[in-house]
Amino acid sequence: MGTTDGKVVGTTKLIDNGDAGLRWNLTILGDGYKDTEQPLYKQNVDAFVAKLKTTAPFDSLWKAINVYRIDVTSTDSGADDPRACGGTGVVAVTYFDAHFCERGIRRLLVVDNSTALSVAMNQVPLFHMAMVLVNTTVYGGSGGAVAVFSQAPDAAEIGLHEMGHTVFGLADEYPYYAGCETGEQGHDRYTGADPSEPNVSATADRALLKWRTLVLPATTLPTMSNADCSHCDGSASSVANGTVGAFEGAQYFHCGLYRAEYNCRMRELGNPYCAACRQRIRETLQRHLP
Amino acid sequence: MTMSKSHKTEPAYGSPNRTVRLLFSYEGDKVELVGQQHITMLAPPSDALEGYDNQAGFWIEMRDAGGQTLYRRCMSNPIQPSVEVFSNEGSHSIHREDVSEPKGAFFVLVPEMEKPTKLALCASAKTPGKPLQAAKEFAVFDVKGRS
Repeated sequence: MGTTDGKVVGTTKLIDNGDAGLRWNLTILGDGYKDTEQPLYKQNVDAFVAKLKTTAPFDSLWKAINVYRIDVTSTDSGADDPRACGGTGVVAVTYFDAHFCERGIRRLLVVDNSTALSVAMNQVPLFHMAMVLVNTTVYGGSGGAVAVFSQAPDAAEIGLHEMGHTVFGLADEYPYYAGCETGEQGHDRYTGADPSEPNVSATADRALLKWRTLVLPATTLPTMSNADCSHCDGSASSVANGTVGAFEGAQYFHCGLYRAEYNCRMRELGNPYCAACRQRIRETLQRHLP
Repeated sequence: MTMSKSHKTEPAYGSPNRTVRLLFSYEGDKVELVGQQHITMLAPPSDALEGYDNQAGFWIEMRDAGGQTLYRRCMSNPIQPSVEVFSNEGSHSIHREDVSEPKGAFFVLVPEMEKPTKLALCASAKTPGKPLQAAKEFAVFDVKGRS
């Protein structure tokens, strides 16, 4: 399975906000779309672009962004979904070799990243970020150099989360590694050096907090603390939604690291990016505005 | 010590819309520069040039022949000994699982400099059971200049 199992048809500049040399260029590729399914692929890309356009802060930075759609056909529809991981057993012969169950993990949907990058570089030499939409309604995705996600109803959230990592260098904000209920060891309290990522901090000191300009003087710091570092803090937010402060529990640790808001797309999918993440995205894309 | 990033030093690169795309492959902890492409586009803005001595994480640095940092960009570490795992649809939660011998490809975009430079990859070593230490350089590559 691979590049003999389909072809690159062409590229369309879907969102044209100007010279690619000046804008931020997002490139979208598809895998597991047969020739006859290209209209579906176009619909799927349009749906993702519509979501991106209404996602803060991209909504206010839209004029900075070009979007390119690279049309790629595959011999088969969908992606491999091995039974070994609880999948359907479907085998699909596709251009980028999309498959679930990478490393035995059910929802880990990957493609051949090197091929995807190579096609993106050939078709859109000035691209900043590449994403691959996979034609399956089974939920899954992955991150890294290329963000990959399926066409399950919530899977576009995976693309937005992974873009946070790949382009903007955002940290994960979830306060555990393997999961809150796993009894994980070694993730109670962070004692290492301050992380360089802009959305997590080893201090809640107002003068040193990376997102201090976003914190109102009346906001208490830390805003929420975890009383029992042997577990994740499962308590509801003690402040109004959208309050920017220092919330304990982030980047795989129950205590000792802080995030800017109670919730964020980098903590849990389906939430907006927090203010610290939005600030980083703005700082990165602002130079691309006309 | 945690430090403030309030004293941002502006990067010293020339033409702002000339960029180099550096393509890497990696397997385990071995990283190889497999290509560099000079293109006319905007690279991501630099992060502060100073104040990272005690920071953990991953970033890239461009340095001139004298070792002076010209550009820095903090990123998510593209060479992860773990993968992000998405729970079943509807739960929205995410967690991580360790993987052995990670391998793959990634690229970085850096501003094209007038003269040849060095690109350093800096990361914190991840040792199970030990606190994350300040990032250290673990690989250096030559980057061609404009001239």
